[in-house]
Amino acid sequence: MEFDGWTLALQAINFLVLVWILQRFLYKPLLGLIDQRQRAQQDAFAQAAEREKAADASRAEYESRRQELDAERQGMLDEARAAIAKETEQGRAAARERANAELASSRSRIEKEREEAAASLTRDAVALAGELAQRLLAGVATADVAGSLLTSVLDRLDALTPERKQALHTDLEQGAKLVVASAPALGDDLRARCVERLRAALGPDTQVEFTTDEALLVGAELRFPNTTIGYCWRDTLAAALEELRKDG
Amino acid sequence: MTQGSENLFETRVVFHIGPVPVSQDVVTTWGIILVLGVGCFLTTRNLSLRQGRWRSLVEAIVVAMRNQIQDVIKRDATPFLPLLGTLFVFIAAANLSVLVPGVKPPTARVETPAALAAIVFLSAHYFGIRARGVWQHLRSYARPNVLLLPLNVLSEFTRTFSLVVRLFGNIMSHEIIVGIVVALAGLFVPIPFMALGILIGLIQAYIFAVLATVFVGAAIGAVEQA
Repeated sequence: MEFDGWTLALQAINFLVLVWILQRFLYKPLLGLIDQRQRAQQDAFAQAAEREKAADASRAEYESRRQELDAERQGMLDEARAAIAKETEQGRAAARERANAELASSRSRIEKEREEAAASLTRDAVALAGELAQRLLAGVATADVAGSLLTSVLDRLDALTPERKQALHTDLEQGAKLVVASAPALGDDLRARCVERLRAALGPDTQVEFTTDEALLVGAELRFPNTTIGYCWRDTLAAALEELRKDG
Repeated sequence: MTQGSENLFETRVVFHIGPVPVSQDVVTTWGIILVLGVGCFLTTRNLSLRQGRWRSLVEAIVVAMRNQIQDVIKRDATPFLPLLGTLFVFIAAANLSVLVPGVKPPTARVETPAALAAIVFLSAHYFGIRARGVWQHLRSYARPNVLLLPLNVLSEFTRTFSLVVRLFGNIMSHEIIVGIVVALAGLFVPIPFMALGILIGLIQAYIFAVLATVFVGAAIGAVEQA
């Protein structure tokens, strides 16, 4: 086996030349391109990171703004609810007051109407009672009853003091007549006894005139010019009805 | 076979340039350089960020070589890529030149592997001195103990010699086997052996480049002494 030193030297030179060629036309351009691509990738990554950061910031800002809006909206809702509740409560209170006022007014009006109705009913009842009483008394009115009542009147006249009797007599001395009103009409016998007792009490010259007054219902009156002495059921009934009205 | 073996081991001078004989291996190497140079020129002209399949393949190979070197020496591989990457590319191209009819691979003769191993030997010292200085570089041969200085110095030559012998022996022996098979069995029988030769050629290129990387890495203090 031969060993050629020239070949070794030439091959070494050849290899070094190849190193230079590959460095010039392969490694340097390719590595430069790779570095350029890596820089482009890094720039792209950096831009992406910046955009991601910006997006995160935007998202955070959006979240913050959304939370603020939520809080604001919640606050507005709370205020609106409170205002509505307040207005509702005020409306309820006003309605309650109006209702109470209307209720009180109604109760007052009803009470007044009830009282008026009761008074009217009482008046009607009293009037009806009076009418019934008048009818009943008219049914039992007889000359005897009237005579009895006239007797009572004459007893009252007799019971008057002499001064009072003198005053009555003085009234009759001026030509006036003593009117004896009765209901129903008195009989002649009763009239005669009446005249006899009047003249006994007031003097023999006493002029007596008899008349019938249905308004008395049952009873008799001695009508002097200035004084009337009588006893009739009309007055009794009127007093009873007045008491009924007062009690009602 | 005898004739083939004589042709294989003898230097075949094609022509002379003055007193310098130019052998067949040198001419073949020039062809390889021409092909690689033109290929690289065509590949890297009009570079842009957009690229085709072929340039992507070339770029992947370059990046793989750079990463491989970086994995071994644990630092930026860019300054070492021209030497170590070219070692792999040239040896692989030289080994695969056997596929061209009539071409014998330069690495099948001892001069080319010896030239490459000598360059690796010198480059390791160059990078070691540049990285650590002359004194530190020389002191590295006395580590871990000064008693190991002769062994370390001796290993510098033996490992360089082993580089030569490994590459030359594998490629030359493959050439011999293929020649024997062709002589005995005919034209098409050696095809599986030639396919095996592709694998062997790539593996030997890889081994040579990796060992050179380890030597350079050891010289710059990046890896343990090989």
